[in-house]
Order: sequence, then C-alpha cells, then structure tokens
Amino acid sequence: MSKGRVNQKRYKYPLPIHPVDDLPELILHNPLSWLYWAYRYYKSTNALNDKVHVDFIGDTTLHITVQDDKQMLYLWNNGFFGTGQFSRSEPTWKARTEARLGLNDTPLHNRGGTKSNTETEMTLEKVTQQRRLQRLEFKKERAKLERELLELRKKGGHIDEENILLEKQRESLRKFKLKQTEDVGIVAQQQDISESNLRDEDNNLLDENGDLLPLESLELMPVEAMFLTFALPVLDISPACLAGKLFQFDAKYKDIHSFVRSYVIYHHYRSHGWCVRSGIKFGCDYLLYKRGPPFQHAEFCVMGLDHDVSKDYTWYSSIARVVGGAKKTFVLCYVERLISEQEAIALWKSNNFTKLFNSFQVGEVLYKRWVPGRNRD
Amino acid sequence: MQFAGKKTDQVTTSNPGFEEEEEEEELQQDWSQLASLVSKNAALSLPKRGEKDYEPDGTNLQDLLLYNASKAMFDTISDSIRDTTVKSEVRGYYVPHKHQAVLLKPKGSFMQTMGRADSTGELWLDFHEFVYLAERGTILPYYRLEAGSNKSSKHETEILLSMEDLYSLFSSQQEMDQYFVFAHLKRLGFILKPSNQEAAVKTSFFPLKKQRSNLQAITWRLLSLFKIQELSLFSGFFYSKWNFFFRKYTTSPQLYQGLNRLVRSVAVPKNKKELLDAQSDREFQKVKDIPLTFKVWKPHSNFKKRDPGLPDFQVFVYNKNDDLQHFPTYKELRSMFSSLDYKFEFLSEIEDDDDWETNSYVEDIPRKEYIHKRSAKSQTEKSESSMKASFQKKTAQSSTKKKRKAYPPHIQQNRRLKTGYRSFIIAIMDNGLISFVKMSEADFGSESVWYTPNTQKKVDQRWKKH
Repeated sequence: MSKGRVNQKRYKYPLPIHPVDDLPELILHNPLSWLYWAYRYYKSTNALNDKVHVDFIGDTTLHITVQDDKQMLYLWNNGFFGTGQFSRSEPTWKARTEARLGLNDTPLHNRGGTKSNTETEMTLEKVTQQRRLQRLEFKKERAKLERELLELRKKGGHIDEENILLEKQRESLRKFKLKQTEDVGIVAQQQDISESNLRDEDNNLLDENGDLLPLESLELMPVEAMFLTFALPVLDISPACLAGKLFQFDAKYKDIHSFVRSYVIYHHYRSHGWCVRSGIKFGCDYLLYKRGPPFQHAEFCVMGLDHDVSKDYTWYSSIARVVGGAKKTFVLCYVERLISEQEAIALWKSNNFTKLFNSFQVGEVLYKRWVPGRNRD
Repeated sequence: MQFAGKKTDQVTTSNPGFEEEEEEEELQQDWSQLASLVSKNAALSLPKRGEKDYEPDGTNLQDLLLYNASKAMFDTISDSIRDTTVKSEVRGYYVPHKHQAVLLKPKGSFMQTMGRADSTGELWLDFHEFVYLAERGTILPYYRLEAGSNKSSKHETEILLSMEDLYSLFSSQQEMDQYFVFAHLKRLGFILKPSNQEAAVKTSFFPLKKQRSNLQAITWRLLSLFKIQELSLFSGFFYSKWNFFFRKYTTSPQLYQGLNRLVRSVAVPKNKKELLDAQSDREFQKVKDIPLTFKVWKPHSNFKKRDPGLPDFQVFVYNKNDDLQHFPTYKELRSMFSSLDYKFEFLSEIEDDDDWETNSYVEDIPRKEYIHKRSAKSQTEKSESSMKASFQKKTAQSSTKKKRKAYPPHIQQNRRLKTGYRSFIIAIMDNGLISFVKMSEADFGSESVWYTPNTQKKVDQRWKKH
C-alpha cells in the first residue's frame, strides 16, 4: 500500500468527533430495512464513548497533557491535536524506542497507529536525521570540488579551462545528489544497525516486566484544550473546569484577553476546516495546514492582533521575512470585541463561552513584500 | 540590440540633458561599445551572474576578473557627455507662493507624464516633479521671486539653485519622504500622480452615486441587524451539553457548519456587484478617509495626462521613524481599502484593458462610450471605421478569452486565499530606505477547506470530465 493510501485511511476524519457514517443501506422496497435503519440511527451517536482523560501538571505554568498511548494517538490521528513531548509533533517516542531496543518483534507498521512510513519503516524523526546527514556529505563533496578549482587557479589555469572544470564539477555534484536520493533505504538500514547498540541507561526505561515505561505524553495548547472541551466534547473535563485551571476565579478582563483572542482565532480557522497548529517555529501565532502535517506543508502563517493596534514596522517586517523565507503567506488576523470589557468578563465568569466568543469578529489582511521591478508589466 | 527596447528614462542619469532621439542614439552607441567589448574577447567579458567567490583566494585570476568587471563599467560611462547643450536647455522656475515650478518653454519627453500646461502654453510642475527633473539634469532649477504678473522682470531675479537648495525647499519631512518614493518608482518607469490631484477627465470604477432614500437606508440597517441576530441564535445550541444527544451529524461538513457559526468574520467585497454595494454603503456611513498618497500606472507609452484612466496601483507613504505616523490599524486599513478606486486586479470577470474601458466610468457614463463620443466629435467620418475596427478587435479578443485556461475549483480557491481581494501598497520610509508592502483584504471566513472524502472525489471527477 502506498504511503498516500495509508494516510488517507489513517487520517480519515478531520475531527475527533466522527460523523455517523456507518448507517446500513436503505432499500426503498424493503420496509424491514427502514426499521433497521431507524434503529441504527437511533442507537448511533456522535459523542465519544469514553472521553479523553487529561492531566494538569505544573503550578506556575500549566501543562495540559494526555498520558494514555491510545488517546494520544487518537487526538493526533483525528485532527492533529497536541505535540508529543519527546517527539517532533506526532507522539512517536514509544514506537521509536521500542524499535531501537528491539522490545517488540512485530514490525512497526503492524502495531496500532504507529505506522508512519511503512515502506522504509522509518519514523519521521529518522527521516530528518538522515536528510541532515546527506546534506552534510553533500557539502563535504562540494568543498572538495571547490578546493580543486582553487588549485587550478593557483597553477594559473586559463579561464576557459576553469569553465570546463566548473561544468564538470556541476555535473558530478548533480550525479552525487541523484545517487544520494536513491540510496535512502540503504543508509537507513546501516544507521539502524549502528543505533541498535544498547546503552546502560536504557535499562531505566523498562519496568520489571521488561516493558517500556510510558514516559511520553501529549501536550495540548490551552486553545486546543478549550476547543476539545467547549466546541467538541472530547476531553473528560468541562469548559468551566478548564477555565478555572487556566485563570484564577478573580481574573480581570486584561488577564483573559490574550487567551480569548487566541481562541477566537483558533476556532475561526478550525471551524472552516483548517488544521491549525502552533506557528512558534515561524515566529507567528498559528500555522494553517489544509489537511494536516503529513499531507502538505502549511501555506499560511497567522498572527493575531487587536483591531485597534498598530505595531512598529519592524515587527511586521521581521515576521514577514521569516514567513516569506519559508514560502508561506503571512496573514494578519485582526480581532474586534463587540461588547464591553465588563460584559466580556461577566460572560467568562458565568461560563457563557458561546456568547462570549460569539461577540468577537475577525478580519484578515494579507501582508506581502512588494517588489516594484517585478510589477511593471 | 537588446538594450534598445529599454525605457530610456532609466539610463539618463549618466548623460542628462539630451532630447529623445539624440538621447537614444547616444545610448545605443554606449552600449554597443560595451557589446563589442564583450564579443572581442571572451576573457574580458563581464562575469555572468551565478557562482560567487566568497573570499579573496589570493590568485591573480580573481583579481583580474574583478578588475575587468569594474573597468567595463567605467569604460561604458567614461565616454558619455555629461553636459547640457544650450539648444536643449530647459529652465524651470520655482514659484514660492504656489510651491510649484513653471517652465516657460517646456520641451522634452517628460511632458507626456508630468506637469500641467496652462492656457498660455507654460507648463506647471509639482514640486516633487520639479526636484525629480532637476535631479536628473533634464531641467535647470531657478528660483524666481516674483511670479506671473510682469513677465519682463523675471529674468533679473532668477538664481540657479543647487540640489541642496532644492532640498531645503521641501515644506516638511513628509513631503520629502513622498518625493523619495515618487522618484524611486519614477526611475523604474512607473507613472505617478498624487492621489488628491484629479485629471481633467476623471475616471472612476464606480458610477456616480445615487442618493439612497431614507427608507432604503432604514431597511438596510434593519437587515444588517437581523443578520447578526440570526447568527447568535443559531450558534448557541451546538455548544450545549445536549447537542449530541438530540442531533446526529452524518457528515463532517455538518459538524463544521455547526462549528463555524460561532465567530463572526468581516465580509469583504469579492466581485463587481459587492464592490458597488460596498461603495454605496460607504457613502451612507460617511467614513472618514486616510488619504492614499499616489496613484501609480505601469509604464506604458500612450499615457495621457488629461485622461489617464484607472491607475494600476495606489500607494500610501509612511515614515517609520515619525512619531506622528503609525502603521495603519485594522480600522484604518479598512477605510483605506474602501476608498480605493483602481483597476481591481482580483475581479476575474474583467481580464484585459478593453474590459476596463467598459467597466470604469467618466461622469457617470462608461468610459468606452465616453471615448467614442469624443472621437466621434472630433472626426465623425473616421470614427465609424475605427468603431468597426475596435468591434472586430473586440470579437477577436473575446474569442481568445474563452480559450483562457480555467483552473479547477480548489486551485482557484487557493489563489483567492493567497492573493486576497482589494489591495494597495504601503511604501515604508526608514532613513532613506524604502520598502514596499502589498496589503490585501482576505476572507478566510467565506472559504471552507474541510476534507470530505466522498464529495472531494466527485468534484474532481466532474472536473476531469470537463
């Protein structure tokens, strides 16, 4: 099965609440099928049977975590929520470590959910690591060729000779790169062998039965947790309870303002189908993926702002440079509160989140560097 | 020769003062000299762009390449003449009380895009145009204390100004900033006019506004209120505890529709009708504008000062280091967006210049009709044939237009999201460095990108059939 097909199946649902899509076929001339359909329809529900359990860790800074393996993966597979604490984003630590220590004989892709790259049996982290290695080798090769060119110059080679050599070098570099891409599998296997050496401290990872301790947990951003309690009932806490954990009961409006703004923006994009993830790696608030990280790169970077705020130009230009350098589109998302601060905080305290978030309005402006020379005709 | 086609304006700094034809000849000579240099000896060629040398490697060859590169450039400009010939000298006189300059005997190609001629044949230049032309050496700047009334006394009080003198005449830092932006874009070949300056023939995208009756205004108000009400009524239930007990959602889109009623988003005009509606709302609401600074046209040879048509861009100049100015807030951005009147490039139904003639208005009649009327007045006989020709041209164009490649819906959506709708350009001035930023309105709130396995395939298949 190709990687694309696996992903299609694995990430079939864009949200952790699934639609009722297993209803039996309705046969028009068969009344019995109507009854059966009605029964199934009556019995079915969108709600989750057992909600995802969250733990709150930390006093000064709150960490909202999910500890259970299955639930961690469930949140990742259905809408890409949260970040594995020992992983890049998908919680893969357990699978990686088990494979490294040879704990489980079954190949990686047979185990529930952890099939990230079935063909080469490589985790994403490994792919990155390997790409970096290859890049390093490529750079070494290039440096070698540059030294050759210098040799020629020092010997007093003519410019024509130099051009010939340059052309040759370019060709050989191209070949080198091509070979590298073909060799992906081989390098990976070699690495696996070199990595499977156990270290003493690895013993500390195991419990008395020789099983891996569940050390990794999935951490949710506060806005994600809010979305999974308030908008979709997925977590086993109530929105009010979450609000109480996030802020003290005597919070002023200015305390909750930035959270509420972030949530409004998060909800706005989530509700239009985007996969919204933190944009901190690109110096902004959110990244928008069309379906999710395994499918394509994020195309938009969102920065939230109050509608009446004007920052120094350097602020805009520095973010835009980073975002532009990553070939993404920079979106300024302005949020306007349509009710007074007093009303807003009153709604927050009475846990009337629907009305609170409903009284915000967002507007977007795209910010793009403009080059006069490229816009002349 | 490849350089001949370039706008001559760009190169005039090296040898100012020549008039069009003369100038072109001179330039061609210069560059052909360079070209012959290139063809003579491969080793002497200018290094092509590409591989960079990162550091001095201590070889003679590198030094030689560097030397050749700079020498070729010096050679190119060393032969050109840098004076003004008396014959083509044009004098400009600064008129202090108007903060403008007047050319008594104007001549030169700059007249096509700059200045305004008065009834006596004198050409009046705005101050920034004056400085620009003086800086390029096209005109000689003079200071004139008395203006207008007594023509014979003028020459006695004139003083030749230096560039420093000229710069000291800028009335404010802001004016100077605007000048730098003007000069920068002008040098690149763009045509600029201050936004507050109307051409003799005023073209607008919007037809003259009809006064809304009070009744209409009231119903409009009521309707917009109703919209908000509806929104909040609907959104409540989805988020209640009992939602999934009472309602069943059989597809993901249904879930998303429940979700996306919560946060309101600003509606943005996306097509011609909405643009016109937005304009009349604006009239009604009496929004106070932040004026944009310049109207900008892309370089084109048949520009008419009197009747320039809709601009291609609109530019707002802002100085980063001026405490009195700030980067526009969202409110200000919106009012700027709504004050725009240019070739709205996002309108997909208007694709070429001919369409713009039909879609813009002069004195409340379509520009196309206006142009016809004028040409009919001046040359009744010719107009018929020209009309025929233009008709033929139009039919030819419309047939080619149909061939234009249409993109599948998801690509079109991506384009809408990435380019946005109405837009303008902010020119940011920071101690003499100018950066340009394009701000465009976007509307993620009206686009849904959720993934639905079944329908997605259907849409794609339907698309393939076409």
